[in-house]
Amino acid sequence: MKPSYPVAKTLRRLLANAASNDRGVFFLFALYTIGAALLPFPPVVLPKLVIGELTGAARPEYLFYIVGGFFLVSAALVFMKDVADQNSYMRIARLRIDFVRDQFTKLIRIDYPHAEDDKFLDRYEKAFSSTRSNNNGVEAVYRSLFKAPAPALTVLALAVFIGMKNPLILAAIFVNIAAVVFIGRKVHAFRFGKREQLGHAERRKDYFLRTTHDFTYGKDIRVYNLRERVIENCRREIRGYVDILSVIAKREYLWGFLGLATLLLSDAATYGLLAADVARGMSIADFSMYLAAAASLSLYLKNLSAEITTVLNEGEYVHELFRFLDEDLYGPRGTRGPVEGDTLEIEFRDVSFKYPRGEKHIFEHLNLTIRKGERLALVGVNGAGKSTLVKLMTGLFHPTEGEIFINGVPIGEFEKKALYSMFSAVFQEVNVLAYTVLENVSACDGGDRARAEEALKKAGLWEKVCSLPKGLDTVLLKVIDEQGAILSGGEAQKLAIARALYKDANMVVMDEPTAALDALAEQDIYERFGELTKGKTALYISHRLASTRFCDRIILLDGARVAEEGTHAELMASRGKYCEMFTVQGKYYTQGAAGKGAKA
Amino acid sequence: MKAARKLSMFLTLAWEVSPAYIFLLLGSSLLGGAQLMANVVLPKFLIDELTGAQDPNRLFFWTAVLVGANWAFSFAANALKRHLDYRKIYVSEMLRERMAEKIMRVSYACLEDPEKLDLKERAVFAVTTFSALESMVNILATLTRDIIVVAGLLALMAMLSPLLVLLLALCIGLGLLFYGSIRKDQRTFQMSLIPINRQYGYYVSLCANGEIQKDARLYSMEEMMTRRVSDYNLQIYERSAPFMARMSIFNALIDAVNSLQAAIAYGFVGYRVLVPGTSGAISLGSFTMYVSAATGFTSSVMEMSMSLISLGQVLSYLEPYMQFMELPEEKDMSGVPFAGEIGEIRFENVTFTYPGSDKSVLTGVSFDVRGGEKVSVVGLNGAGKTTLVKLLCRMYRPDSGRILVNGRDLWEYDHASWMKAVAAVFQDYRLFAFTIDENIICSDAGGDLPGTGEALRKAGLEQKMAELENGIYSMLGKAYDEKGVELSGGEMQKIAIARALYKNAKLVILDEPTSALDPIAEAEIYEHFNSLVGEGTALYISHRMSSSIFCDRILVIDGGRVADFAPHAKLMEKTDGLYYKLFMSQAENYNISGD
Repeated sequence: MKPSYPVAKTLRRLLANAASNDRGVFFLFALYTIGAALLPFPPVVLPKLVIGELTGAARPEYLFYIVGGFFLVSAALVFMKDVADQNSYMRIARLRIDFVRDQFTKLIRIDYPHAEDDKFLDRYEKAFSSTRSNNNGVEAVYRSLFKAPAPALTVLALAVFIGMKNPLILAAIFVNIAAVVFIGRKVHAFRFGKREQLGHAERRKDYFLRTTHDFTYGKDIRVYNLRERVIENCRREIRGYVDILSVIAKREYLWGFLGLATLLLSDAATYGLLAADVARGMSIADFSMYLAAAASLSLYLKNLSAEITTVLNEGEYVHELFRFLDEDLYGPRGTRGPVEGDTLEIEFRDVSFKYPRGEKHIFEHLNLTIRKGERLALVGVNGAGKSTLVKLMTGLFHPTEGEIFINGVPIGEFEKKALYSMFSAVFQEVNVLAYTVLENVSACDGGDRARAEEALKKAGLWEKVCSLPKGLDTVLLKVIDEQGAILSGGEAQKLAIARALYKDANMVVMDEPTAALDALAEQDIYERFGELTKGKTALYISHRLASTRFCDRIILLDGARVAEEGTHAELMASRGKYCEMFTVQGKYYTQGAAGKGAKA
Repeated sequence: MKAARKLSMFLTLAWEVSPAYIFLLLGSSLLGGAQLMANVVLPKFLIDELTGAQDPNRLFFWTAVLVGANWAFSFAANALKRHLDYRKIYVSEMLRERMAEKIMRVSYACLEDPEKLDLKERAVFAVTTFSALESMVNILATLTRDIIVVAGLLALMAMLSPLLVLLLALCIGLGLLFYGSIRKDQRTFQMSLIPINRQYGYYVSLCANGEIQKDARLYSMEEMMTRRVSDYNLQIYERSAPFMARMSIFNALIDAVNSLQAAIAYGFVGYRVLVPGTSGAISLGSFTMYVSAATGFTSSVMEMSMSLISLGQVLSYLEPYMQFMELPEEKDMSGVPFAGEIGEIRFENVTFTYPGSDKSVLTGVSFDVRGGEKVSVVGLNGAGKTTLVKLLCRMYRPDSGRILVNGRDLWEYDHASWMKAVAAVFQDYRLFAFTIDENIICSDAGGDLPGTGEALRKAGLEQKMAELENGIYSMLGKAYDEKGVELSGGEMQKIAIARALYKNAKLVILDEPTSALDPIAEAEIYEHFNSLVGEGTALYISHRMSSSIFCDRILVIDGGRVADFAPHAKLMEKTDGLYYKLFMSQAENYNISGD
């Protein structure tokens, strides 16, 4: 039952974090502890005083003094407690969301291969869940640490008080609480043992709930009449998930019997022993007081143990969070600054690469040079490795074997940020973010408006931007601003091009940028390609071979290596795979252009 | 929507999902209430004996009753908890499932309506972030128990003195006044926080969004993105802190009122012990009982009132959910069963505007397609091609004009039988995490194996299936099951094509079905198009102009109107037409030093 993580270290770090970020919360803590620790006592003492008066001197005025005094003391204590408690909520919540920011900052900077690893997020799931809500993880531990010392003091005082009267009662109460805590840990351990099963079932259930809540599945569900099947699967997964919960509930129920036994013991001891004391001459006033004290002791012991359990249980998640934040996930990095005032020449020397979870090599002993200032087209069938080449070249992924050189310098020597800054990349999936047009284009706060305008003009999107209500300052997407603008597929692509133009990096990379565009929009992009690549090395990837015609050289990737290379004319003459693909793709066009249909 | 209506909707839904749960809930409330009552009444007898004769037998008896009763209640509560806890979660999850069912049944137009999308998002947000459904259930449980306790204790205290009840009621009134004051403040505050939380959620989720990671690094966006998150952190705090400060004062006032109630209870009943009223003297045992009743009464009434207020709050969180559940479903779509071949499809002056939009997507579109004809539909982005498809799939109704199939209005046919006759591969097609085999077969249970194999072969997946360990019984995708297979974009597209082919439909619609395929694979689809689709009628939409060659006729849509409808050769003669322009702009790229 020993906790499996360094509890003290974790708590110390949490407290240190609070101390360095928000001293005020400790003051509130002191106020709360005094108020909350003393608050149980007036209700314990009140019955004794009142009954004492009723069975003693029986003076009505004294009755009112007692009751009035009780009210004033209680009211004062409760004010201290509540004001301190509520005001601490937001401060503690802020400590949590600052951790969220820290997580965020890290995730956006870690080495890229982690981002494509779908196991990565799973592995750190506990860390991420620790900051997800007000009721668990970081915030739960802070709140429990805030609230626990008060009942601890109360319990101590009450225990001494009752113990002096009759140690047996004290013992019985402690045994009962010990049993409750023991059961709690047992159930928790059982549940922990089932967590993988539970996690599995939860993931399957959530898959169906997620996809069915996704409107984009609607067309296929209707056309292919998948309704019944999906509903059945969804319900089955929910049942499966709940069945595991039921097993856990049953275990808790069985353990509960132990708690019931000790409860019986504790209650019997309390009432029985106190009643016997009265029979031996204790006053009824004292009887009431000790009864109230015993009940309070039980209650506050339960509270205390609940808070301690919370700290122990949730603390584990906080530990995971700290582990995540401490871990070096930034990958290999160098110190060299970017290449200045020159475009790039990239050399792949004997490069082999396999994705971490992949089965086969994407590249095996690949040798390839992208010459300075040339426009290179990269073609190949799906899965040949075109996009992977880009990821290797820009330093997003790292070769398993071999070396990549940029202007003669090994890629590993460059500082990450410097390396990234050398490429203006346009990918197939355009990511329009819910920021302003200016921010999307400049990729920073406070971008240069004139430069952005220039970039948008060259990309052919300036007119559209002018037509928007706030021009460059219009927020895109509707998730942040209801009046936000939505761009069509073609417009989004142009935005990506504008972004690349704005950056004006040493080299240009375009990876399937026209897949979703119609013929005229596509032609438009091809024509602007020249703008984009003036004087710079450019890499263009597509499986639409027509785009290769405005490139200086073409490389065909096949079978994990460079299969063919040369100019378009050379490759057509050699009648290899490129020629085959080009002919096949162009066949219908050449036929059609000649006015012939495929159908006679 | 009125609160009463929302509540009754919720209860009806919960009852449908699990009647056992409602019973268990009632049972546990009754039990909780009874236990409280017992602890108020029973001690009286023990104390009376202690202050009276002190007969050991009777002392023992009353102690045993008190301890035994508590024990029995705890035992029963434990037994109920065993069932209640997981069933609560079951009901929550099933209510989400009900929403999923609703999404599958609403009329399709809702799914493309941004307002309905927003409604759904808000509904889902309330359920997942605020655990609205679970809160609802918890509140109802507490409320039921409190109502029972309040009723019982009220009766008890009324026996002593209505004046006491009055005094306590005044106290409660004071407490509720404080509570009411903060309530409006709280509601405004929480409502104002909802959009901020949603936006915050968007920005924070970006770090886990796999698609943007390349761009974020290559364009050094991390500072911009991090700063936005920090800004929101600050905003949330600055909005919340003053509100919390106000809340703290009010909470303290309410708790102080609680102490006042205890003071009044002790004072009043104690006075009655000292100064017996018309109903005679009160024993010490009765004193204890009435004081317990008074304090129990006031705390239960306060709890009940707060539950009612929370109820109102949670119901307002659930409002989007309830509104969504009331959306109109696809109406009874029975009609004339569609059977046999398609002889002709005719569009007669069809005009259509998407709901909520001001400009029409299709205007006066008229054309007819002969049965068995293969038609290519071309046009610029946004011209209306996909809209034609949606109209044919009965996802929308034309605003004016008609669509006729075999001479009869499309909407007169029985929905199910028409959908059986149509197969479509949409541009944004979706596959499920079922086995490949199940993805292709769809509704037929235990499908026709040779048919599946045939469909896969036609789509060009025969070899890939042979490579897979479990062949066609492989689970698709890893989202659902780690042992699933991940296929490339092109392979997924081929499965979507196979799914359409398996259906052996009379009308096959393909919307950009080869966008993810390489030239060779694409060419295979073209070459065998006729045999793929067979005798049926086909509609083929593509930006790849080359695909029009192997179709019988080409429908050219420009700005929502039919610009042309003729075979390729004819269209190529109009050198100033849109089709010619589109075709040549792509063809040019293949004509240099080529064949």
